[in-house]
Formats: sequence, structure tokens, C-alpha cells
Amino acid sequence: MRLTDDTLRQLARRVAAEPDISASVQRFVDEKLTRQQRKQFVFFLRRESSARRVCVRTPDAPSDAVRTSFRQSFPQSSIVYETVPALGAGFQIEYGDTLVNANVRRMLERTIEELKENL
Amino acid sequence: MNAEDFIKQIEEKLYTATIAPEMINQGTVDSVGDGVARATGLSQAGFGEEVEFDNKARGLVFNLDEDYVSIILLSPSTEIKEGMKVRTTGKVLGVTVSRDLIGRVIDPLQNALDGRDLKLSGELCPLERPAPGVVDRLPVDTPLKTGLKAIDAMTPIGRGQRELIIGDRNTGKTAIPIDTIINQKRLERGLKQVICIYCAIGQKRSNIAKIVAKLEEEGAMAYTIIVAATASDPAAQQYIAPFAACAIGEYFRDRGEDVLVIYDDLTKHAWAYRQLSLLLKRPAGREAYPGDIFYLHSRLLERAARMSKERGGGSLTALPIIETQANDMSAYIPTNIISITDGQIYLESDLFNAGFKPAINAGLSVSRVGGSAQTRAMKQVAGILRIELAQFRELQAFSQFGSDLDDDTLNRIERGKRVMEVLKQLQYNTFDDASEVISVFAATAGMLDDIPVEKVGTFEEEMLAHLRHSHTEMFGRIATGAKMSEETINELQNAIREFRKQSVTL
Repeated sequence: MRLTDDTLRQLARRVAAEPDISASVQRFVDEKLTRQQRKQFVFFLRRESSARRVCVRTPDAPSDAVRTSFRQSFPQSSIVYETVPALGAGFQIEYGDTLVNANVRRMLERTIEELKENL
Repeated sequence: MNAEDFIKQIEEKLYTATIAPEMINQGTVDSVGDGVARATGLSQAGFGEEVEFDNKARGLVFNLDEDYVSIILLSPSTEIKEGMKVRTTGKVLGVTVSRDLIGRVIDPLQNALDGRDLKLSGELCPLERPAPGVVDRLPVDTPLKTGLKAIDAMTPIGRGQRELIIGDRNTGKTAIPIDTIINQKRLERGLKQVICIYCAIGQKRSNIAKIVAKLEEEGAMAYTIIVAATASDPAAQQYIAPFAACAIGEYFRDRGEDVLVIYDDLTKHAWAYRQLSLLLKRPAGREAYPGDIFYLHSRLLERAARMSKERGGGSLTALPIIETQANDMSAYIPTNIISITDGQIYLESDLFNAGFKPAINAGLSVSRVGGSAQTRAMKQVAGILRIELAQFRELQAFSQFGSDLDDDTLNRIERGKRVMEVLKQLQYNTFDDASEVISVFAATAGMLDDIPVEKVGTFEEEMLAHLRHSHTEMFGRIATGAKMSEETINELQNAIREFRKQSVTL
């Protein structure tokens, strides 16, 4: 079946937006796509789903209020919570290719970098 | 800074710090090899932006595709692994320049190569910058003396000019700029000290070490910076090396100083760019070079300029070097650079092998703007030099077909041989202004015509030494560069005649 990269990209975008992948889509991918197309589709799907996934890292397990706040901020995305004590305080959010750092560890790293530059 | 101040500085930072959110655009290395990495993510990356990998290695965004970002690696690719995170820095690649760089040997990423500590301070100058505009420039009118008679007389170079040095391998291409650097320690006629930047691209480390040692021996490192991307460095470093050298030069140029930048050589630079372009799967054109290879070199060489008074009055002179294959000047890269530059010095392997050094082919070498930068004295004596040589070459070729030549032809051939002898010059043996003028004058005025060809060199050397000591006042008058009066010419002729009588060479 002749499918351009653009078509595969659009297909991946739509599949990633669905909460459940239907059996017809699974069948289509298994039966109609060539090996090369399937590889390309997986690449697009992985990228699209990571763009829709939000990873929140905090030093302690977040409270319900914090979780609600994040859910409201990212209504369309699935949120994963990770506990990373090394952050000290604050949080780190990763969504798509953006990383937001607001934690003590990063602040200390920046201070060290600045001091190294000035020394 | 003492320990107390240091502690205070850290404490201040810790106690006053607020955790401000920092947003980073990041990606993941998908594949890596041959000095190029491909990363997904990095949706905010800009063309030419510097990126940083997890292990602090640096790269440069070179291609922005729909699904990938291609990055050229400024560090060896073995340090980068698949799956590694890479982040944008929001910075374009640049060099931190101050006068501290003078006398140093660095790579394009400003790591010291001379074994001494290098503390970077000063102004951050981006590698890529637009060339000065038309109104910011002045015509080239100040000479940049090479100390080589053949060049200063026939293809003079002016400050702010771009003069190509072209020739096959082993024809003395590098020797010319090295002599030029050494000659800059002569501060003649109150001209400003020229800061020299020698940019070695794809050369052997041993060659660079030899050049550094020679410059140090001659005391020329006091005003020289060497930027080296050697043959073993990644192609990306070789690609950015001339831009780094140019950015350093611009820093001094914009502060009113005169700068000479030598790109040794742009053939290897073109190879490095071709390698990167092919690895990035950019469409290949003639000789597999990418379509923008002309623009690559033109935007680099356009940055050479003599600036107006309002812009500081500095200058940046560029001496690019190109290596030809089998004397083929009509290859792609040589023709490109010839059309960009303001002239070329063509070195011929036949001349070199015949012992004529510097092996400059007077017929194919030209300086399109340097004439206006030549001193009046040199212009006065060198005016007929090119014609004499052209006639000599033609007659010499003609004389090979027959033995019966009239006296005039024979005289011209004999004169030509002596002129050629006078233009010979040993490496690291640069001449001052006055010596150049006197030598060229003696040859073109026929004052060496009855001296055996093999003795011309020795005679010239002794004559100059004699005139320098016995006719100091006249020597000084010629050194001013002003047009020589009838009186000076007569005095010079008499002095040479007088010396001939007492010369031990004859």
C-alpha cells in the first residue's frame, strides 16, 4: 500500500490522540503496512505519544491538591508522577521536548556553573 | 578573589536565590556517526544554534528537517551515544576575544594547544556575522608589505584586500604568508602593527608545530594568533576554523587595528564542508560539493575590509590559500575563490623545481586593488618589471626554435634572466622597503646586465649591505616610500656604479 510519510504522520497523530486503539487500526497496521512503513509509523507514534505524555518529578509524592492542579494544567495529556528525592525541593516537568526545571538541584547546578565561569 | 570573598559570593547566591523556572528545549539522539548526530525533539532549535549533549559535548544545528534535527559534532563522535539527551542553548557559536589571545595557539573551540592555561575573557564574537556594508568601507590604499620582492613589486597587497595564494602541493604556498607574518615586525613609515592570525585547516600537527617554532624564533608570535583545526580533528571543527579566525580578526579590526588573516587552506575547508554536507544528505552538485559552497567562501572572504574612519579605520586583510591538482586553475573551488578575491598569486611547480623561489608566475598573478596601495617609489621602479618579464618569457620561448637572434632580443633575454635572479628570495629572508626598491631598480635599469647570472644574487646582497652603510641618508630617503627625484635616482645609479668598481664578486 502506497502511503507517504505525511499520511503516516497524520495517522500516528490521530492514533495517539485516542484513549484506546481500536482493533481495526491494529489490523490495518499489521496487514496493510510494509515493514519499512511500520517502522516509520512506530517512530511517529512514539513521538506523538511522548508529546502527549507529561512527566512530573517531585522530591516527595505530590499531594492530591498538586495532582489536581497538574491535571487542570494538562487536560489533554496523560500525567506520570515520579518521585526523585535528589531534586531537593521544587519540581521538574517534562512534556514533549520541553523540560521545565524549578528545583533546588538545578539551582545549585547553575550556581556552580556560574562560579566556574567567574573563577 | 580571596577565600572570604569567595565564601561571601557563594552565600549570597544561596541565600538570595529564588527557584525561578527554567525552560529547556531538549531532544534525544537517534543516531550518531561520522561526526554527525541526528536527534528527535529540539522543536525550538534554530539553524546554526549551539546545542549541548548530556556529557557537555557541543554540537551545531546544521539541518532542520520535519522529523529530525541534524547536528554536526564539535567533539569526537565516540563521546556521543544513542539515546543521550541534547538541549538547545539559545546561543550561536562564537569566540571570546581579548588581547590575551595574541601569542596563543588555540583550536576553533578556544582550547589552548600550546600547553599553557587559557583564561577566556573579553567579548563574545559570533562566528557568522554579516560583512561590513558599502558605506562602512574605504578603498584599499595602505600597503601590507610581504617583504618579498616579487610580490611587493608585481602583485602588491593592500590592507583590507583579499589576495589568493594558489598552486600545487610543494610550491611554497605556506612560505609566503609565513614570511609575510615575519615581515610585520618591521614597522616601516609609521604604519600600524599588523595583528596576524594564521588559521590552519586540516594540516598535520607536525607542520603547525614547525610554524609555531619558526614564528617564536623570529619573535613574530608577539603579534600572532594561531587557530588550528588539524587533520585529526572532526570535520565540524575544520569547517568552523576559518570563521573563528575571522571573528577574532573582526574584533581587532573593529577596534581600529590592522589584521591579517591567513586561511591555510580553503581547499581542505571545502572538503570538510563537502563531507558534512554529504553526511547530512544535502544534494550534491559539481564535484560532489553542495550548492552553497560558493556562498560559504564568499561570505567568509567578504568580511575582509578596510573600514571607514567612523568605524574605527581598522582593516582585515585575507590571504586564502588554495591547493590545485596538476596546476589546474580551472577546477571548481579555485575558480570560485579566484572570482571572490581581489587577485591571486599563482605559484608554479615548474618554476619551483627550477629553483626559482618564490615560484610566482608573473603572467598569471595579479593584484586588482593592490596597485593603489603600492608606495610611489616602488611603483616608479616596478612599473616596467611585469613588461620586462612578459617579454623575457615570450622571447625565451621563441629563442628555443632558432639560434639566430638579433642583439636586441639577446639583450632582452639576458636582462630578463637577471631580473628573474633578483626576484629570487630565500625563505625567512624578507627585505625592507628600500632594499626592495633598490634591487628592482638595479635590475630593471640594466645595471646588472653585464654581471654573470650566477653572481647576481651575491652581488645584490653585497650591494645592499654597502648602500645601507655607506649611503645611509639616501637609503633612508628611499625608505620613506616617496617618489624618487631625478637627483636621488642619479645618486643611486652613481652609488651602484661606484660599488661595482670595488665589488669582490665581479
